[in-house]
Amino acid sequence: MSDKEKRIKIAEILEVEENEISEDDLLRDYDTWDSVAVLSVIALMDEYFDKLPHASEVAECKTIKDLIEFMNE
Amino acid sequence: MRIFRGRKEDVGRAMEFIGEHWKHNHILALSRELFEWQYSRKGKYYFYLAEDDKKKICGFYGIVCYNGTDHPDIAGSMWKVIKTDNPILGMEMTLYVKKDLNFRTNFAPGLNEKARKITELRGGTPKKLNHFYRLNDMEKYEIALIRTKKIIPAKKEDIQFERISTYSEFSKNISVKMLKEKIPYKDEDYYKQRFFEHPVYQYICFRLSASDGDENSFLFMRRVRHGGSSVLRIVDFIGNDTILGKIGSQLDKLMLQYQCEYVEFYCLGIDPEILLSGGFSLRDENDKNIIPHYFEPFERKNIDIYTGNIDDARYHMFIGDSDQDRPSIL
Repeated sequence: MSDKEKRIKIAEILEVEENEISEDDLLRDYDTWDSVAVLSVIALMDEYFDKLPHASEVAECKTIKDLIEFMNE
Repeated sequence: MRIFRGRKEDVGRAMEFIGEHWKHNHILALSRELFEWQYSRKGKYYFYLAEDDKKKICGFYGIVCYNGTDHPDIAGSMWKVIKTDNPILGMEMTLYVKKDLNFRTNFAPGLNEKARKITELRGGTPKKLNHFYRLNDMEKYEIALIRTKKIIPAKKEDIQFERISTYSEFSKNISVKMLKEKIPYKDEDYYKQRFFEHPVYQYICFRLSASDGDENSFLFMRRVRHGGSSVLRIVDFIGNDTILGKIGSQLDKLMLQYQCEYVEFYCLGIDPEILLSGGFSLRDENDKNIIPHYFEPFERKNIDIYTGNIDDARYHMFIGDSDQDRPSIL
């Protein structure tokens, strides 16, 4: 999955359009960055990367860039 | 952030949080009596709070506890966190409750869209409660919208309905063993508080007995009114499920006695064939009738009620569980 595709998936999870997000955006500024979003990230990583991170690891990501890098690890 | 179990002195703060962040004028933000009834049991409180370093409440999770064992069955109810730096505060509250109460099961009817999504993301499938009803044979319906009037003729069965008016009458006829066999296990104290000590609603309890040996079953109901009309709602049942396949004619008598348009019964875990043979109809997506469930305020529409991923077929759920069938308007 390319970084562009990851951004599209992250935008879906945050319930915004892909062109509305920037990698420097703070996740906490999104109202939709909550338990559902964190579980959605976990489900996404399970489906596409065969990884099952702990919710607290996902919650440590501060920005969208952090989230993309976390998926790349 | 600190998560902790609420105490008596936290009730006021919890009520304020509900009023501010769940819904202005929510009944649990207005009535301390109802809040204490809902979230306490034998002097212990069953609600959890999350507060930040400045003691600001950031999360609330209310629990209905069905029994007093060390490994109880519980039902989560109101669950709300506000926006903080911790996106998983809600999840952390549920984990805290798991550790604190060491519960056996935690399922509740009335999952909202977000809770259903969480169930799915955790790999489960939310279950829909079956909505059964039996119509009274009337010419005109004010509450229900009846497009296809179907009333399955009730078999005349030798079933007795004995009105139980007090908790002591109920207690005399119930055994701990009988209650413990059920999942969830709701103990006598639960039934006492839930149906005999409700601060607002009057519940109707019947002891059901059959000549063929089905004895000591109990049906809890409530008459729900709208305008000049009313309906009967079955909110809980204890006993052998098979007796429910024989109660159609007794329900007809009750509907005449209470002048009700229908009896409704939301449930999960009871074989639908039993209820269909008892004269109930299943209100599903193919049913053209509207059998309202919301009365405070009244809404003439069908309501689907969901719960979590219950994978134990023995688990029985009713609409009196958790904080359902609760007044919304003071």
